[in-house]
Amino acid sequence: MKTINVLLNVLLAEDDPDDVRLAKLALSPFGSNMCFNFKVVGTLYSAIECLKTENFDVVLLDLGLPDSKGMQTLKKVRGLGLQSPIIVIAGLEDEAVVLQAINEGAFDYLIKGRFYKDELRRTIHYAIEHKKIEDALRKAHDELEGQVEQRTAELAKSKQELEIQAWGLKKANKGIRILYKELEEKDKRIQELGKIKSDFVSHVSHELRIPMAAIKESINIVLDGVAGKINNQQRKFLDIAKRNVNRLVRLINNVLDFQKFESGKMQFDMQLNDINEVVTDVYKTMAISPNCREVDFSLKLEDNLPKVRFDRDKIIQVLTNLVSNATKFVDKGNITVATSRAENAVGVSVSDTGCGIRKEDLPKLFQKFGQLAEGNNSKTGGTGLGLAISKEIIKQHKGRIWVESEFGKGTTFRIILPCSKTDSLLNPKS
Amino acid sequence: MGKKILVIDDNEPDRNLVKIFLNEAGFEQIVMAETGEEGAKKAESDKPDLVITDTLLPGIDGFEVCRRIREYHGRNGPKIIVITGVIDAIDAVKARKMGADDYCVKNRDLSDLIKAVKDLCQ
Repeated sequence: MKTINVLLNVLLAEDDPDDVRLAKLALSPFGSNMCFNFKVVGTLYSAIECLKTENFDVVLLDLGLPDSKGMQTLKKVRGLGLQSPIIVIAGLEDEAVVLQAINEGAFDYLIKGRFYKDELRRTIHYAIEHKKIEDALRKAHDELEGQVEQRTAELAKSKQELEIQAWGLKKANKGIRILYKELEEKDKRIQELGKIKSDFVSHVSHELRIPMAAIKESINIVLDGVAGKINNQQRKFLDIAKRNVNRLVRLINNVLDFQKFESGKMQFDMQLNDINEVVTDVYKTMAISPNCREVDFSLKLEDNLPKVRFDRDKIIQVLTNLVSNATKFVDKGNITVATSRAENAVGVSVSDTGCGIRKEDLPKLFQKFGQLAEGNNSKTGGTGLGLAISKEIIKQHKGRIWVESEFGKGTTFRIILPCSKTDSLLNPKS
Repeated sequence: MGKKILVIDDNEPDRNLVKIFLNEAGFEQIVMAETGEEGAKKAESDKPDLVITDTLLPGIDGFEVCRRIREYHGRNGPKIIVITGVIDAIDAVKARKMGADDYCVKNRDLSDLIKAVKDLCQ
């Protein structure tokens, strides 16, 4: 036996008490899992009032009520827009309209006096199941519709967002193109100006050399006494003139050198050379110069260094410059030129026990015209280009030049010149 | 043309340059503002047809100026061009979202801005 587990609210619109009784009998709970809670009304008016205020699982509607007959009865109930399934109960005289009733939205129909207990029960069961499925379908449909709506709105929003992003990118792109074009023009102008400057400097420098040579030659002639005897005071002043002319010539040469670096016109004659031989050469030349006579000038060579590829004249220029710098800052003390071995490279150092360089001045050292503010240029006779040129030369050799100094104690300039791989194979260490 | 243009820029040389180039392009009625606040106020009181605003301003920035103008006038208010020396796609997007009609770079001869002004004042 099945247990009663469903309680259904049924509205029975029926004016005939016998029919009411029959229906109730047909739907007695015995042997069923459905139990019915009846509300019985005798007129369409009261049926409508009930439907307005209460929810029913199913409506059993007699089409022939005292205040309404036939299809009108169904139409009026349907007109309420209810969700409850309607089962039409019709008398024999209404048989012709029952099919029409289905079209008008009744779930099913039963003919009075012709239906069995089971038939009514089954119809109600189907009506309720059908309603459940319909509800589920409607719900699913509504949900889907909601989702579609939401997605459509989302898509519209992201489309708008994308359009704005694309707009922003387009505008930024255009702006960058405009700025880039202007930058290119500016760059071109700067290059042109650079060339004008470079041409001007080299032109002027060359033009200066010729009269300078004439002045130098004339001073030498007078100093040598070829143009007549000169007294000591005249000699003293001519010496000053000669020293300064020499300085000017050096400056012009340095400017021209630098110009060559900047325009990439500097040529390098790279040959395998023995660094010890070159350093010794510089040492010998400098040792006899008047500046070095006062100081303790020494040479320390590391034996069996590999030969290195470099431009002999340029390296001599760098070393001469370093030693000559050292002599300017050492009155009484030591200057040491040394060679050393490094990894795949040879090292040269020029050390002095001079006044040293302040820490804050070190970065300026290798800059063009980077002479130290406190230094007395007229005394040292520097051009302010020597170290900048040295740095360029070493850079062209893929080497390194740097300075170590302690103010008041002394300075060491160090150079590293690399051996190329093929050269080190040809010249194994020791 | 008879269009009234409000220029908002805190940098005086820039502001004057914009005015000169606008005059040259035939726009005579130019109103100037130095800050975002002043600009937003003049956008209400002076009823310009077009507002040109820099992005970086002391106080409220150019984006906020756009927002205030759009808040006050809605879409029927003046056209707005945001100009900048620091071009940035994110800024352009921001300007657009705040209601700007165009986003231009402050280039040497302001050709980008003048073109945008002419396009919007047609």
